[in-house]
Formats: sequence, structure tokens, C-alpha cells
Amino acid sequence: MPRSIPTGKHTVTEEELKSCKALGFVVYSPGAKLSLVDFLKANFPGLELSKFLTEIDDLFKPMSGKRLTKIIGYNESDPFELVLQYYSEDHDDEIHGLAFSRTFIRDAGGKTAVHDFFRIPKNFRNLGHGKIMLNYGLQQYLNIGVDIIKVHAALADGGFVWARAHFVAVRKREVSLILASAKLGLPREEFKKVKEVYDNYYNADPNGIAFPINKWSLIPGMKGILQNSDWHGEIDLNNQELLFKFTNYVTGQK
Amino acid sequence: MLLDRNKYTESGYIGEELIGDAAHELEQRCMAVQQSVKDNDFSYESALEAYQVTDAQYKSFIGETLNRNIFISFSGTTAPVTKSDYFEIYETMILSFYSHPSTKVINKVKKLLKEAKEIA
Repeated sequence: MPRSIPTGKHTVTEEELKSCKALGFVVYSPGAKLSLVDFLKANFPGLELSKFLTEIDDLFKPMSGKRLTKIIGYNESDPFELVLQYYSEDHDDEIHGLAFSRTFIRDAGGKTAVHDFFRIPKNFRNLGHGKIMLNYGLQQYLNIGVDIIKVHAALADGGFVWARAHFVAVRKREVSLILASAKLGLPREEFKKVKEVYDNYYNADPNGIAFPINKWSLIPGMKGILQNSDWHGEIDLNNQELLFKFTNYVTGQK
Repeated sequence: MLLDRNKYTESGYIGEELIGDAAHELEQRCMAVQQSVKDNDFSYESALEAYQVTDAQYKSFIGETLNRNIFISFSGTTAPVTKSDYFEIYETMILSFYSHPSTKVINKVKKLLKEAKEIA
């Protein structure tokens, strides 16, 4: 049962939107009838838009000397979507490019935050910016009552690190492919343990959509397998145990 | 104007920053042992072996986790949790381990915790 109850009390105003535009954000919603302020009031109450965008701008602006594009997009028909994007003109340069996108969706199933993509210039990697951004995001997700965070874990080690961050794998086909890779790449005894986790989960729920891939990520031999994997994951923020583990992981708090 | 939202993915190095230090790593492995045992993936011994955690490390993790839970249980009180509070809780924990603790056990536990309080 989706929670979708905002814990934040904030209501975005026209004045606040002006301050976002002063940061360089542009509003993009071709053909929209509702203003952005009314759209947010109706669909994502609790969102601290100006605070969030200022945090994003302060974090990303120093990362690129190239022209930056900052967009607040929205779709006022069901499913209702709010898209925040921030990217440099060389976003497709794997070394120097900056590209960030988050989509908030509200539909009959509840509210979802999709981590579409996030890449930063090489000089700024592994300095803690990813952690800071995740903390900024998580605060707003709780403010607006997001039920689920979704991520596409792939390549560049993503398949491993997002498993470590307690995202669950939602597509059995993808999990089965990873299991097949493990069979080829691991010693028999280690693979046996990997298989036991898989069997225990899918025997109980053959069509399960929340495989605890975190358990695999902590078996030593699985690091290399998961680094080359590709899977779709999510975190259910209504699952208090998972939320605790995720926030513990993100914040490093004990 | 909006980039295709499937154009890129969430880069691995973003999550890499979250992995943390060796102590955090051990804690994560202990949590995996706890979850795997709870979910009946493995026996306790097999879980320790799978996640390369020693029995002593796991017991230490359980102790630290319980301590944190005690602290969290008292959060919101105006007075800070004292060592005395902890000892009272430990007394209950130890005695509740026995279904019918004998007077001898009760006296031993009380004496032990009294000494610990005095040292603390």
C-alpha cells in the first residue's frame, strides 16, 4: 500500500519559483495549462523546490566551465511527472561531462523517484559528491512522500555499487542472467551459496519483484560479477527495515 | 531541451562513494549474515562462511547493534541515557535468558552488575 504522504509542510510559491529562475533554471512544459506552482501544489506538496535546486546548483556549478542547462520540466497529464535536469554542454564527454536527471512520478500506484542518470567530471569523482546528492534527494523524497526510488544499475561498476546500497532487483530475467555469469565465473562452492540465495527467494515467490541482491554483493567473489551486470532496481521507502538500512548506508551513520 | 532520460545511467562511481571504510564494510557483511539467517538462506555457520565474518565479529556486531537500539529507545528523553540505565537493561536481558532463574543466579548477576557500575 503506497504511503505517498508528504512529511514536509512546504508549499512552493511564485516568489520561490522566481528565485529558482534566478539560478538559471528554466521551466519546460510545452502546452501545459497549469502553472508549475499549481502543478506542484496538486502533485508534489512538501517539495522544497528552491532549497533543493540551490543545493544542486551549489554542488554542480563548480564542476564545469562549459555552458550549463538547468531545467524544471513537468507533465500535467497522468502519470504526472516532474523532471529536474542539470547538464553541461559537453554532457556526452565521459571524462569531463556533467549530466544529472531525476524524475518524480505520481500515478495510481503512488509516488516514484527515478534516478535517470548522474555523471560528473572525472576530477570531481570519489570526493563525496554522490553521497551529498543522495542525501539532498532523500530529504526531498521523504518531504513529498515518495514510495519508491528506481535506478538502472549498469556498467561502470554500477551493477555492484547499487546492489551494495540495498536496492532490490525487480526483474527475475536480469537476476537469472547474473546467476548464469556467476556459474561461469565462480568456484563451485562459492557459486553454491549464490544459488542458495537465489533459490530461497524465488522458490518462495517465483514471480518475486524484490530480489535482495545486496546479499550477493557481500559475497566476496560476486563483486567482479556484479560490476559487469545490468539490472533494474528499486528501494521501497515504505519498508522501514530497508529504509533504515539504506539511510544507514547513505549517511554512514550507525 | 530535456535530455533523453535513458541516454545515460547512474554511474558506478556515484555509488562507490557510499561504500565507506573497512569498519562499515564489516558491519554490512554482518548485516548480511543476520538477514540471511533470518530468511533461512543459510545456517548460521554457512552464513559466516559465505560473508567471511568470524563468530566473534558477528557477536560484537550484535552487541553494538543492541547498544544502539537502547540509545534510540531513549531518544527524545530530556535526560541523557546513563550507564546505570544500560546496566538495568543488561540485568533484565541476562535474567530473562533463564526461564526460572535461581536465587543464586539472580544474586550473582546483581553482584556482577553492581561491581561493573562501581568500576564505571
